[in-house]
Amino acid sequence: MPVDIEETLGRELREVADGLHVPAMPRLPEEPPRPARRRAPLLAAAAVVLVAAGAVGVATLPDGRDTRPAQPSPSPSPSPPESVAPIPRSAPTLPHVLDRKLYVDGEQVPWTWWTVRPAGDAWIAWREDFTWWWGRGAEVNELPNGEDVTPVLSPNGRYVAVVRAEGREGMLIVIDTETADTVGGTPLSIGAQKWGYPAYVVAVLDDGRVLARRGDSQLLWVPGTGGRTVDLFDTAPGQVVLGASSAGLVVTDGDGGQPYLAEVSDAGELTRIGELPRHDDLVVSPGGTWVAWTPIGTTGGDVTSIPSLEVRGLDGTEPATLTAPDGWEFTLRTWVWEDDTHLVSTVWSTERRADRMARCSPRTGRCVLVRDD
Amino acid sequence: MDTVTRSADAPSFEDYAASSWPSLYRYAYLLAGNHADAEDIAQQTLLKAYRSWSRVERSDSPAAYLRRILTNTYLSQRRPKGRRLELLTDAPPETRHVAVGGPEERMALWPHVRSLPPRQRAVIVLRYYEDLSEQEIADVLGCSRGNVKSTAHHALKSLRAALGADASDGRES
Repeated sequence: MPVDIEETLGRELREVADGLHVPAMPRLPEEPPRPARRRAPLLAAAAVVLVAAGAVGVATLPDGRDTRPAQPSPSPSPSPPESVAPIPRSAPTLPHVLDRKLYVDGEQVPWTWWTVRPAGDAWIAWREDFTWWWGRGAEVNELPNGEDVTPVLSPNGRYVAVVRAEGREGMLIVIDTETADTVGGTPLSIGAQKWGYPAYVVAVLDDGRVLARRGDSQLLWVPGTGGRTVDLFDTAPGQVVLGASSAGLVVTDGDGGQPYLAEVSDAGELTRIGELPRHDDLVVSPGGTWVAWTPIGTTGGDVTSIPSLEVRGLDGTEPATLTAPDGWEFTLRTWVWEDDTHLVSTVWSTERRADRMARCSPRTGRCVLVRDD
Repeated sequence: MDTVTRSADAPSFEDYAASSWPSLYRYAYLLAGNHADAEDIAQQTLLKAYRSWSRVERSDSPAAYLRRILTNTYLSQRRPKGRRLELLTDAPPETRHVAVGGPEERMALWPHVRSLPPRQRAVIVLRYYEDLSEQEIADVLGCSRGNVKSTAHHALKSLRAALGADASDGRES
């Protein structure tokens, strides 16, 4: 007699569960609970070409929500003098990928992953099957994807934006990570391909504004203005926006020119607010206190790891060098500011053929391996 | 242990954990297939929930949140020694093996469910014990519905094959 496998499964699983002797609940540890995460300043900057936080500005979305960006901390939070305070060796508080495993809030997220970029309470990650996902905590959501299209997260983690190609049209999608809604409700056309190249997102600001590049155009889109964009080619000639950080937009004066921090108005005008070092890669801490970078020419080509990073305070503190723990090197573009006190990164040992996580203090210039637990 | 509450109406973590423990343990047992690992996984789940209680409490469904934590804990197969809780009991540790010939062993499918690869077993338990939809399972596992469909398909195919093999064995004996 044929077995109804689904009916049998349901019945047997219930019988097994109902027949169990459930032991007493274990006593839980005498430790304080982990406090709720604060929003932007305390956690995570984004990675890769800095893309950490956003320009200052206020916008109102179509639904009237206040989208004022989180204000950067004026200074690092009080802490014991770093000269004597040890660098914590606990696991990073940020989502991180180690050995192709993605860890969020101490849990391993299923599947294997290439990379993760955290910001605020949110993150975006690239899965082994080349799809992009975003999440808050361990919640995982797939991003509308296209080939060679990389999403960008705002420095405070509130918005993620991506351009999806539909034929020759570039459709901008901005997702509010707090509600999982698409800002404006529907994808927005930001024009046809230019020279055969689709548009892509360069930066998303903490208020939901987006800067996208299409050919030699740099298009600023402001929520609530429909499909209208402003081309920085007209409003800020010769200026190249590289990304957003918690301290402002990262801009260069011409291709390969001197980088600087800037604010952008809704009309597309750039206002210089600070200087930055010349760099290949650069990340700003979430409170806008520190900047870490790799010097020009150090992280291009086939380089996959480097022994040290440069770091300095954005208030003009003298530069220092963060050297990876002895025998280890920083894996390229995995370094990210955990907060305004520490930077964390995957490190690689050629001798051991292994990845670990390391934590660095910019005040002491020291880095330690975190516990492998 | 500190009491963790958000408001007078919200249950404390201790209350919630106590009421959830039996269902967590049962679910963990169906995944792990033995008491020792079930206890371990359920304990780790409560510990993780405790450490992020404010987030769990704010979620639409704390039960779903804990189910996701437990499933991921099981699938990760990564149980840090430093984070393990010791069950404070006078009872001796239980064996990891179910007694041969017990009621569970006489079931048609359960012994084979326990032999499935972890992800397939998780899909089967979520679908046929927790009665979750494909989308809900996808949410728990952090994958697409298509992935859930294919995983379930492979699992059911394996189970049917195992049933067929059992039937053949029975005829031969």
